[in-house]
Amino acid sequence: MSRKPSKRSNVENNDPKELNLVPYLDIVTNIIMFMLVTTTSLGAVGIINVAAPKYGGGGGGGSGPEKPQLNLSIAITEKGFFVMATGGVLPGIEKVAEGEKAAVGKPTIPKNDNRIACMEMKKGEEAPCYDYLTLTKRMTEIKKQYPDETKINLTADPAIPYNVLIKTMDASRENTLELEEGKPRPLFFDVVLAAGL
Amino acid sequence: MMGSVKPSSNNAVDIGNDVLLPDKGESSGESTKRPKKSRVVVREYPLNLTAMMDMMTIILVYLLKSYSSDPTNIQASNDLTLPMSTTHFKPEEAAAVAITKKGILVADKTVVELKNDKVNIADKGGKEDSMLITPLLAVMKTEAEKQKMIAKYNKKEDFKGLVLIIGDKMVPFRLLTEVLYTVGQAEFGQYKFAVTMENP
Repeated sequence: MSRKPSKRSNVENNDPKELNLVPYLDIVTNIIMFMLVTTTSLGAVGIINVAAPKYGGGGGGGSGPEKPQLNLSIAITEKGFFVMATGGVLPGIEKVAEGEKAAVGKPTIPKNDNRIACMEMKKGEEAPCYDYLTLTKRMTEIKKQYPDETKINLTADPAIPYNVLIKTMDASRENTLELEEGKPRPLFFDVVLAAGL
Repeated sequence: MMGSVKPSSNNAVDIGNDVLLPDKGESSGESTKRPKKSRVVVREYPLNLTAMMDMMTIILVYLLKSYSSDPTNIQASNDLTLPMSTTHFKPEEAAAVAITKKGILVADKTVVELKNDKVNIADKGGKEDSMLITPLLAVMKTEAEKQKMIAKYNKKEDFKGLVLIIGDKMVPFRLLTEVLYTVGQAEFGQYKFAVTMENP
């Protein structure tokens, strides 16, 4: 009679070996660390839609009288903002002894020399800085007179930094101080970028 | 099994896989009490790495997916700081053109090098007042052809002429308009400016 093989020894010999996962885990951990370190993003990235100027167009012969176009434009210069529309440049307001008068030949919204006011605007610029708050107020006034108008042309001096251009777009796109149905009051959000001055 | 106390026939206490066996002398009922001798079987519990590996693999796949599919895969550097904005629009798929302090990049490759925020005259066809940046035009035309080819075979991917401008906040307006004019010549007419959202 042959001896019955031991059950225990048989089980131990046929025990499936577990895959050694430690080296794989090491590799995966290293890759994760590498990716987390290298993907230092710039925070939440958003976009601003901008259109190129379109020439020609029109014609077609639509029915009814054509509405006069506002052609609102902002020119950013070293002195401040010039706000223009069909008919001319919107003059700035100059404080004189008798009160206020139109400042002809000067920017519509000159730069703000007040350091504290510049800091309050929180735009990261040193005084004299661009007066974005006043620009938003003027845009709101114009929007009240032309509620259907959404287009704005932007142009600037060649040396004006991109940062100022974006801030100007922000200031003319919406008024965050006045809410409309719980959202900032929309102003002129169709930005058309024109060539430099 | 682990942690549960199971009654055993021979008064053995099972804690996990460790079995505490009572001393033989105790069960014989001898009156003379001797100090208890218990034999503790110590076994090693190997850490189960499978669950951890699953977790790591999921994280890795997620990171790889977000790394590759992000249309604005922008690396923070000293040469590229995006301006802040109050916009609410999220980025979408578009041909990306980056303008840093050192150069103009398309798909992370430097196309034109800049000196003092100005393009070399040689890259503008020898004319200083020219708006056209010729190396950028060539690259963008190739990009437009590639997108049109994709649109030809994939009806869902229409060629819209979208271009994402990723500009450093100090880029002068002149350089910006030169880039916009050049990409416009390559049929990219809808510009999207990448910014850092103030209120994401």
